[in-house]
Amino acid sequence: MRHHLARAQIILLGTFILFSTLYILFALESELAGQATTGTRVNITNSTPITCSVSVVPGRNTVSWPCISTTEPLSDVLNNSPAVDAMYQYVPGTSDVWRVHTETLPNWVVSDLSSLSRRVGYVLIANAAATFPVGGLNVSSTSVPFLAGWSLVGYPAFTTRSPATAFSSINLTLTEARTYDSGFLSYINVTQSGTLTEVTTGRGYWLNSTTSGTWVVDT
Amino acid sequence: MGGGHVKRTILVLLFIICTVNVLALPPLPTEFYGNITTRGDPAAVGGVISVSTANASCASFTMVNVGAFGLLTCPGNDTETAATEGVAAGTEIAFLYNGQPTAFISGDNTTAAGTFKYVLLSHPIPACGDGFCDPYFESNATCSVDCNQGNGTGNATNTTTTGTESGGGGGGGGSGGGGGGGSGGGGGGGAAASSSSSSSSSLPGIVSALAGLTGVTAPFGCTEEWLCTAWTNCTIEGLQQRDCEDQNFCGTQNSKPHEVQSCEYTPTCFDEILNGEETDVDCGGSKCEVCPGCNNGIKDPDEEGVDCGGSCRPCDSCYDGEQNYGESGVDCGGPCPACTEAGVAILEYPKILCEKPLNPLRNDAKWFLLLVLILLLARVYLYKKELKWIKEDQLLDEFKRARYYADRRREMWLFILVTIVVTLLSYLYYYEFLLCAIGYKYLWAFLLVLVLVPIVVYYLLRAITYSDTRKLARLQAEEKTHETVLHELMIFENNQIMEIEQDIAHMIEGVGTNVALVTELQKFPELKAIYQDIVRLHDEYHTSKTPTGIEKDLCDQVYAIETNEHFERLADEYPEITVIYQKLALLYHHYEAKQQLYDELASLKKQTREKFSDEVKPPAVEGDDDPDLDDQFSGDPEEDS
Repeated sequence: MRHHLARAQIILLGTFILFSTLYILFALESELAGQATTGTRVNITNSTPITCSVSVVPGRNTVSWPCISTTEPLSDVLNNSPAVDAMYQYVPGTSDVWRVHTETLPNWVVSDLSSLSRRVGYVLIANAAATFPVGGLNVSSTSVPFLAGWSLVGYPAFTTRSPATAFSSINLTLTEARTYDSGFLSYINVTQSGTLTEVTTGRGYWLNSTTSGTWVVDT
Repeated sequence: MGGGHVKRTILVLLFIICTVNVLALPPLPTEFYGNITTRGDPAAVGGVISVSTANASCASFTMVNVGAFGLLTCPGNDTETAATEGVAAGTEIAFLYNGQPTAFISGDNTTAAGTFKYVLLSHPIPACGDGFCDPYFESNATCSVDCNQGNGTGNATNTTTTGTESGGGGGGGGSGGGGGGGSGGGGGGGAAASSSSSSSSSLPGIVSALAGLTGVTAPFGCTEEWLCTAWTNCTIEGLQQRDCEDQNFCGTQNSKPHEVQSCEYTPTCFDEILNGEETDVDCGGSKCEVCPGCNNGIKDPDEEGVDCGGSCRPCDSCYDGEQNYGESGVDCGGPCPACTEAGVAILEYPKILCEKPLNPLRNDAKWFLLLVLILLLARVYLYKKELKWIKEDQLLDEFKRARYYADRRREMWLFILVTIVVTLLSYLYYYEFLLCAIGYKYLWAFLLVLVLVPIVVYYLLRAITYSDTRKLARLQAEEKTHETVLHELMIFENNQIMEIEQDIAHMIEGVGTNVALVTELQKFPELKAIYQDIVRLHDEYHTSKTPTGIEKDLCDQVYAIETNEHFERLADEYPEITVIYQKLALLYHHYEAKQQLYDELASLKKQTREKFSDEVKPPAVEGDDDPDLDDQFSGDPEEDS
């Protein structure tokens, strides 16, 4: 009996040591896994605070805000301005290709455009001239995705460039670029010509591309 | 040549420019919003407003406000491209509510890029005879079947009907629709669905216009005639349905009666929900069975009596210490044993309520006990074998052999004891908690004992072993001390004897010069033998031997010659003989002293062995089966002396 009890004590002690060892091993493994996770590289984008201001005229405007985030609340940008009749975002490839915001309808009407992005261009219908300043960051480089066909994109830059320069990185797939300024201004990529002679900040641009891709815009 | 090349280049460029220019931008959408009623009430949240498949590019809208929807987007179509990107401007949109057609009442349902259009819709498309008087399209004049109360609210009965309208006829009268039969009417809904308005229309105007369409002339001149099955039973969700089929197979659904309607569900006792008069799920009330419980007046499956026992209060009995159960006193009288004159129970309450036999041979525990017994005997047999091996192990000294033997034997008895205790506890557990299920009030104590018994036994065993070891070691030390002292005394005695024997030998040798004496001494052969023994003893002592046999012979011869009268007389005549005689007497006394030492050593060993055997008690001590071990402690003093 004595030997049996001694053996039981040894088994208990061995079990305790085994589980302690396993616990330490798992703890070490978790620690190492945590170090591996924390070691993931994070891209740092240089950015400085800045205010960007977009002016609109009565009627149709194609606009974008280059200094806002990619999920900026719409109310922070438009500030409930009475000059805005409606604002549209074109979302190709979805069942509801137009997201709309309007403040002229009854309050039970649901607008599905609630946040803005510097990557995106917008069609703004105004009933009066207005300016929409918004504080944000001057991000050194922004990737602007677009799909095949027409996409309405923003121009997240503060530098005015020629279309050939501005669209040089997507030169192979771009067919045409347009914006609206009391009428459509168009840039034909094949001939590198058209009525659109410069790409300026604050405007949104319709891009017609043969394939989907990403337009990298530096400020 | 060069001019032609330039021309071709210009033409190619113009072609390219023209080609590119036809890739027009997506037109801005038409956004619809508005209100909708279903059967006269605002449509509920969650309803889905969509557009007919003809304009599938429009999105749908899930309602988040009662009776209101929007914005519902219809993208525009670029007329400059062959592809259909959206709905062409000016298209009249037909809306659906939960996939069913709706009637357009007012607003603007035509598309125009970049506009927001309000529409007022009604669901379903009204059909005379559908049991609902649509306030927008039906009246007593147009559909007396549905609107016979004259107030525009329908209350017609839900009967199987066709889309044929009762023609004209005023309202009033009882329910069920007045007016004569005859086909006609009925097509109002369809007409409404197909109607459109580019501006807000006045309600009377619409109604009036619809009233004029009671001829039910559907497009292409086909008149729908719907035949419906009977309504199904009302589901638990409060809906019932039917199937309707157009007998004329017009392919339109302008006047199709609705196939689903709300109804009042009649609760049953099998619908697995608490409804109707039920007091619990599917029980209670006037129609279902009584709900199980401790107050329902019936004996439920888990009860031992009516509303008692099991999960309810204990049932009345003759042993509950209360006057109940029809008793005349506390637990006596009535169905219980008779009361004493003082009105109290005669019998004591039973100590054990379990009627199962406690004798293990009369329940299933006998197999368990038999198994334990077999295991116990097998283990004891192995212990016995081990004890025998220990006894026969010649490599062990007597002390270790005794200690191992005692240890193993103690283990055996402890094993037997613990096995018996645990077996008894197990049987008590089986009887009390499994066989009888008397109660679990002391189960914790039982489990505690089960845990504590091995621990207590372990520490008890360790303490006993430690005590035994110390005691055996002390006994062994005492024995060795006594033996050492006695051996030292024997050595001292031997030295004394040796000196005396040398003196005697020299004296006998000196006597040899006296011829007369020698002559006389030759008459005593014992003396010669004594002399020879002394010489031999002398040699033996010098070689560190213990010639006990020679000493015994010498002692016997000395005794014999001391008792010889002739030798006594001779000693009186010769003084040398007297000295020899005195020395021999002294030698004899020393032999006796040495003999006493042997006796004392044997006695001491015997005493030690008795103490030792009290602790160890090997079988050999008892003289039955271990003579070898007994010999180790016996010492055999006779042989030594």
